[in-house]
Amino acid sequence: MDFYDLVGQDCKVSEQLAMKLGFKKIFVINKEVSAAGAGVKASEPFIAFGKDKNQLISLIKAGANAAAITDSYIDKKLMDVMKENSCILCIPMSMVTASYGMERSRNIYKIKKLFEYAEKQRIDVAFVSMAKSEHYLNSYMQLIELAKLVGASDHYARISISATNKRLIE
Amino acid sequence: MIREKHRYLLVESVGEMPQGERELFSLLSREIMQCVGESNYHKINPKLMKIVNPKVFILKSTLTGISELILSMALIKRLDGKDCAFYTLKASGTIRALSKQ
Repeated sequence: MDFYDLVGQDCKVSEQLAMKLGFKKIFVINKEVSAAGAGVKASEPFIAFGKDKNQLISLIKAGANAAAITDSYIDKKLMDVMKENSCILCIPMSMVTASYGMERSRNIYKIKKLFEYAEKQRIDVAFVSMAKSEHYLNSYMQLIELAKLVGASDHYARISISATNKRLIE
Repeated sequence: MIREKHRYLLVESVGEMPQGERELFSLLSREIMQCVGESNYHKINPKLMKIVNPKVFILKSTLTGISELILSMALIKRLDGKDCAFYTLKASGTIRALSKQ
């Protein structure tokens, strides 16, 4: 099984480091895939980022491959649009790894609820590290365990990190 | 007597890592306990087996606690107030298999 990850544009990842961490490839934002958010239009393939639900809906309708809800709140209308457009829900695990104490606990709870709802609605979920620097990178084993922490089964986590993550750039 | 099954983890550090074996293990255990809680720490029962080089070391865990140990390694981002992260490179049932990495 080949594993893939997605990191922020400032994170420098060599092919050698990706292989060492167990990934076939680590995609970089604005290199292999663009990011579209507040006022930013991107060329395809692109991932919609933000917490403004109406803006996310319009980006998904415009053809976003995936959407990352930065505040992790569940909006039923947004989720319905994601399901209709076969849009992937992108969950950045840096929300868990880059926070501490109570903030980390709150983020785990919010992501867990979001994942539960998405799974129930049969929306595909991609777990990505979205690391800002190599300090926040994870190996594939760590990413699987982080996915399990927010409620995914071992099988689901493996499929998500391999096939679903690859679909982010297709 | 039932023989307990173990797993060994090959871990690489990024950033400043304490050089002494005893100091490293003491700081790591404290952080692991903070991540998994006192009630789950016994399930992992971690031990520092070998420091391969200044950046790479081998940790031992029980078979049932291996998931928690990998998770803690992903969550630890500071050691003794200094920025330090860990990559879990490989897990195996023997140290010899890890040494081949």
